[in-house]
Amino acid sequence: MLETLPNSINELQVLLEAKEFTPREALLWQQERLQSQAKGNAAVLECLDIDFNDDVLDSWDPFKPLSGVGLAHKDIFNLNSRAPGLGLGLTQAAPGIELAYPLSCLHQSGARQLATLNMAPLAFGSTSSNSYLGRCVNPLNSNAVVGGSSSGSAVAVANSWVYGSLGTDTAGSIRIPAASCGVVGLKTSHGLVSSQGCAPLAPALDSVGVLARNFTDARAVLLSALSPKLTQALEKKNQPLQAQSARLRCFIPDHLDAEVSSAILGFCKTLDHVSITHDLPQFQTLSQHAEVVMLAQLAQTHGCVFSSKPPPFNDLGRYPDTLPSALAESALAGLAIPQSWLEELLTRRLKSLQTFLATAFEGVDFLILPALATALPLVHEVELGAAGFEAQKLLGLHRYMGFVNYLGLPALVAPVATDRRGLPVSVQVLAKPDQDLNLLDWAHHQWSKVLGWPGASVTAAVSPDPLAFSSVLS
Amino acid sequence: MQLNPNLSSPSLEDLSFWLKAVHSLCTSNPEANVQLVGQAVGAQSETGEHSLGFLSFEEFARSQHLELDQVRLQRVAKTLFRLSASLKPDSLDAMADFSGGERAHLSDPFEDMFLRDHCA
Repeated sequence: MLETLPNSINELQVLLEAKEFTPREALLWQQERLQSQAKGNAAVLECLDIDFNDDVLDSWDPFKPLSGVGLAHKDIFNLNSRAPGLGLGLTQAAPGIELAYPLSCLHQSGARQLATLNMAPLAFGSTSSNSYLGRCVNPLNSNAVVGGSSSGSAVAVANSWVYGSLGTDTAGSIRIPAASCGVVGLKTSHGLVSSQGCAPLAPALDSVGVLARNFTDARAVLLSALSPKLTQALEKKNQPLQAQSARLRCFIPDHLDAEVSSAILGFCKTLDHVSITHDLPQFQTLSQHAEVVMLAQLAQTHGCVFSSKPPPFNDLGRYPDTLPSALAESALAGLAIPQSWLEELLTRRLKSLQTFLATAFEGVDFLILPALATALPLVHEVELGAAGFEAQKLLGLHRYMGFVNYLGLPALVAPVATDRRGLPVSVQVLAKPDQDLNLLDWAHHQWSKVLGWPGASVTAAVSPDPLAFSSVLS
Repeated sequence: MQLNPNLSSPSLEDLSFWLKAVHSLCTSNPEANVQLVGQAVGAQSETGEHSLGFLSFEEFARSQHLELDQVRLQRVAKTLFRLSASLKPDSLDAMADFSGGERAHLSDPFEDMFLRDHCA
């Protein structure tokens, strides 16, 4: 039996190929570990059964790149004959419902889903606050907030309970939790990963993406979540980029939090070809466009549930009598938005993207931005109604997120330093459309080869220095 | 009904009037909304009617037990006003026709629509 979990999916595959153990044994070990360590933790909603009699688990298969890999996902995806809970505890048996497409692809690749994970109610919330299912606790510091809405995904990955997790990102819902827990979060190019079987929030902005401890794991999970045909197409679009020669532009907004600014500038010193700018073209306008689209579409998604029209996700078996208050308030504003605004902004979207690529991306491959606008807030600082609440810190969680969804660009977050409290400070890196693989490959080179970061530690929950690179930028 | 000249403290009737007016203008002339809205709620502003054709603003609020009081209406209006500026940033200057916020610029059909959608 295994004594310790290999650090990465690649390492696990090497050991499986060498017949050190079988995929079945690897999964059994991961399942037992998750069940024992996550017991009572709000991040994990339900541990799922695995068919250990499946012959596929007998031996390593070179055509199954996630052989023996345990994953757990945000509870927003359909499972076989089961509707998702959506952060409201709505999970129920629902005969006829099929496994969400990306989860089906992962299963075909040899991965097995070990659990469903907590999320902000209906995927609307930039923190893990959840009055229905409880708040997720940050394994790095229990006083620090866990971002939302894919909160359980970030916690499960940071705790090393699983190699990776699928989440969704409408306005930062993968990147914010990843940044808060010091793990890698990838918001994919819009539409790259199928959303079939995934409950929508604002379909024009929603992207299914990956949280993982390192870039190679994120890459492996991403590729396995796609159809083989799409995988080939994506690899064709991502002709290998010489990581050392990648050109970058770094956006440091005026009045950015000093600690965040210092961390990003320190990171930039490790890059060979980077220019600094304080002006990101159309940032404010694009952010507002994203907000209009999100409000209007979330009203469409959830408002219609209360009308005679069927909801856009017919698979959903149950629905709450009333929406969570923050969502209801936003839906109210969304219902007031004229249809003409939404239509105009969706029409303008391609032109906005072309303009952004011609300006912000002019002459560069990647764009570096802050992930969060402030150092990681404490729970009470971003909890509405709590003593010590600071609106700017709550808004700062998603300030640099939404416009990326409007443009549909791929973006990842990963930690580059720790702040004075030892909490992660992450950057966000944007790439051009469908350059998801090049983005991950460049990041792998930069973080592992240049920064010496091996990825979030497998002993993150108990290590005194879980980020393992706190001195890099000091 | 005359518009309350004290726009920094509009009555519920004023707000309702402007919500209807602004939505109508946004639908028929997207460039028209910004200044009108600004006038309506003292540079905070406006709106509130269904845009999606299947559920009214008021119906939804009722289903959620959200009272459409002045604070909530203003909050929605403020959000809409802020966001409208990103669509037509020059429209503030282009809306001289509506300066003064006189009701005469808004014909009865607007009010009819509002009454139908919000007061039925």
